[in-house]
Amino acid sequence: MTWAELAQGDPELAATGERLLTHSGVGAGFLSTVRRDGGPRVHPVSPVLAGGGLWVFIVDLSWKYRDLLRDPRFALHAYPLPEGGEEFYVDGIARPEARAEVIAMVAGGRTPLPFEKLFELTVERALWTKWEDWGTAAPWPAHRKWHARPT
Amino acid sequence: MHRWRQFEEAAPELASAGRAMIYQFGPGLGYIATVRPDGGPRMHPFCPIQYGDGLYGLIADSPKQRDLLRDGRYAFHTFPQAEGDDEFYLTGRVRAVDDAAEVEAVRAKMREDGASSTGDERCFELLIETAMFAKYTARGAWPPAYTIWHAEERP
Repeated sequence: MTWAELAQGDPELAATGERLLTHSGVGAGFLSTVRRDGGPRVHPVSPVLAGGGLWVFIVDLSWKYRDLLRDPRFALHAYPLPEGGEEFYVDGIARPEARAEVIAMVAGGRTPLPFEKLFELTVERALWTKWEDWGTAAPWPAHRKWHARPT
Repeated sequence: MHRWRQFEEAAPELASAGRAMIYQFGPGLGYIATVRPDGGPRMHPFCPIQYGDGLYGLIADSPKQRDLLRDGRYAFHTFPQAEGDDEFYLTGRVRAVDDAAEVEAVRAKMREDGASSTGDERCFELLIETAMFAKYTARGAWPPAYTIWHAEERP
C-alpha cells in the first residue's frame, strides 16, 4: 500500500506519521533491512513524503542498498522527539523507482547525485505509540495500529 | 562474539566513543533491530545498560523480546545526536540472562542510569560481533570517517 492509501485508510494515523517523520524540519528515521546472512541491519535515512508516496534515496555503494535489492522488506522508525513520548513506525516492501519524472518530483528541485537511488517504501503496517505518564517512573504505551490487509 | 569488556579492551577508543553515544542523553538510549518470525526486520527503541563486563537490555514481553528468544541476532544503533550526526552501531547476538542476581544487578543499574523498569522484563546481554563509529566533520557533511571493529579476524 502507498502512503496515500494509508492516509485514506487512517487519516489521523498518516498525519501523525508525517508529523513524527518530519518533526526536525526534514524527514529523519532509522531504516532496518535484511542482511545477506538473514540478520538485521539499521542505519539512518531521510524519508520524503511526496506525491502520495513515502520515499528514500539510498546510496548505491551502501550495504542497505544491496540488502533492499536482494530482499525488499524494511522497517522504518521515525527519529525520536526531543521531549520523547511518541513513536511512529512502519514496515513493508521497498520498491526501486527509476522514472526520471518521479525522481525529480521526490527530489523537489535538488538534483540527486548519480549514486543516489530512489525507493518507494510501500506500507504493510503502521504503528503509532503514545506513552502515557511519560517522564514518570511508570510510563505505559498506548498503540494505534494499521494493517494493509487483515491479519 | 565478545562481551562489552572484551570489546573495550580490544578497541578502547571506539568503546569510549560508543559509550558516550549510548549515554549522551542520560539513560542509555538506542534502537534495536531483530528478526521477525517471517525473516523480515523489526526495530524499536530500548534502553541499553552498560554494567560490569557487559552491555545489556531489559526487554518487556513484546514481539522484539520473542524475536530475541527465537533468533538472537540484533543490530543496535544509538539515538541521533541533538547537534550532530555521529553514529555508533553494533551487531551480534544476544545471550538470554536467567541468573537472578545478574538480572537484578542490571535492573538496579538501569534505574541508577535514570530509566524505568517494570520489574518483569527478560534480560539479554548484547554480545558484540561488529562495532562501527561514524564521525562527521560537520552537520550534513558526508561521508563521515568510519572506524570499524570485528570480533574475529576476517580474510
